Amino acid sequence: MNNTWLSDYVIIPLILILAILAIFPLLVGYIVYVERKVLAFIQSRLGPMRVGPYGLLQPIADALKLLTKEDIAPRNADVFVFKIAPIILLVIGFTGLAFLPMGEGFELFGYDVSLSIVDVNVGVLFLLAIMSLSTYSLVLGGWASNSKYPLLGALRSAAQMVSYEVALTFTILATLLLAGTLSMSGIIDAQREAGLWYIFVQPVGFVLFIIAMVAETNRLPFDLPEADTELVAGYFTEYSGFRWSFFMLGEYAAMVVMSGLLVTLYLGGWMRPFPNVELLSFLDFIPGFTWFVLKVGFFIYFFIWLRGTYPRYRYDQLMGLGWKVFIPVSIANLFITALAIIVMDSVFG
Amino acid sequence: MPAPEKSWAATALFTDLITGLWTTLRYTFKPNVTVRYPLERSVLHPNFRGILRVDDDLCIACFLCEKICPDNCIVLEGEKGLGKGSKYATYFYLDHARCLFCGLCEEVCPVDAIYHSNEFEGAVFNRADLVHDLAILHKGHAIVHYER
Ligand code: SF4
Ligand code: SF4
Repeated sequence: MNNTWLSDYVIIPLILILAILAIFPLLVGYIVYVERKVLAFIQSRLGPMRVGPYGLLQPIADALKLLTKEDIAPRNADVFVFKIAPIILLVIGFTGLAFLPMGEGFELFGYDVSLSIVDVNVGVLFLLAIMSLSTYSLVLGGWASNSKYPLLGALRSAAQMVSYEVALTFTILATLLLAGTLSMSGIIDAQREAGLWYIFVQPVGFVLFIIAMVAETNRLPFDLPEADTELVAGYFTEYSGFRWSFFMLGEYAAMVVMSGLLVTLYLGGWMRPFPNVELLSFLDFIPGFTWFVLKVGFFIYFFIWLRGTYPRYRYDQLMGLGWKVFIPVSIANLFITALAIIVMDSVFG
Repeated sequence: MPAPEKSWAATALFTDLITGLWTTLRYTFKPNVTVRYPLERSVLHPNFRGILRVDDDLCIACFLCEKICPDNCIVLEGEKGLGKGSKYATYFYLDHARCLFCGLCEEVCPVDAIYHSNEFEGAVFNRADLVHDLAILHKGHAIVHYER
């Protein structure tokens, strides 16, 4: 039946895409809400309390405010580039979301619904390529603003993301060696077959990935591109209204994508904890999507927790850390992993 | 101050970073200190220096408060008492827009006529309304208790 082609490649992906486009902005609003709340609790404050019970309607009020603001471009800005830069970041963020395997597939009305919208066999590679494009958005936005703080922020973001991308890629490579595949769901399957999460094989890689991930998404303590205390707001100083909110959406999408990638690579994606232990099989009734959301949610919380804890790094410290520590350690990690795989293969066949 | 010595093991295991995370985690679950003002009111210390009041019957128009006030908030005039026995203030103006609530006037007053009340909600729409005359100082200004 040629209907399957239509449903598999057009209708179901389209529905999932629309669902993500509809749900995700709301989700980001509530991530910001949780961020404000958690930061407030860390500082013994209450956080937003006025709009709705416990301030729960605050994100909606904020969104309405942002959407009704005037769309301003500075007089000497390069208007076309200025206007297109936030859109690039947003598109990149949403594209990244499409690659995350969010749960096992299920059957709905006789159709197979796969919860990874795009499952290509080079998923990790594609995700890395897409995520590194986000630097363009920041540089374009910072440059087109024609103002000194955005420009400084843009230059910093370019340098920072390039340096940390190297360490990130080497770290991921070590995991890919273990999995033997570049497909996101393939990596999860490999972890299922191996019977353990790769965090137990790659603890160093896991820590490196977390740190590089924070640097990649420009979050504290590595938020130099937007360092509020020095650069006002970094590359989006001149933005307001919904273009500003595009930058925020893109940044939080990047956080979710990076957390999702981390969960897929090291924590077994949407699998339940200890997938090979029979004793825990009573957990199987919980759908994989729940586990995925829980794990990603934890890392989103972790991002906020870091922000509430650490002061910002100095720029030279950041660069020194990146080039002198993370890159050598990640290369050593890759080397040792490769060696261990060869030795294991030759000993155990 | 030089940074404290750290062993390489402590550096590699991020002990200091983890200590920081532990501290913030503990504070996340501690009770918070915010008082949501219009909805709940904090308990004021008895020594809280709020809006000034003057007891008309006690004041002997000695000018001490006018003299000591660092901001020259107080202007008053007095005359020999008719029936009251001693001097009393004929007029007494206190400009709360200038007052820094230092408490010097309260301290210097020989008969404890001028004193700080526990009121702090003195906002007005007109700056001139912040100048309180003797009647207001005696009775206290119209207090608005904000609820929302
Ligand atoms: S409290 Fe201080 S500033 Fe205010 S009226 Fe008294 S002496 Fe003057
Ligand atoms: S110091 Fe006391 S008694 Fe003297 S004028 Fe001021 S309020 Fe009156």
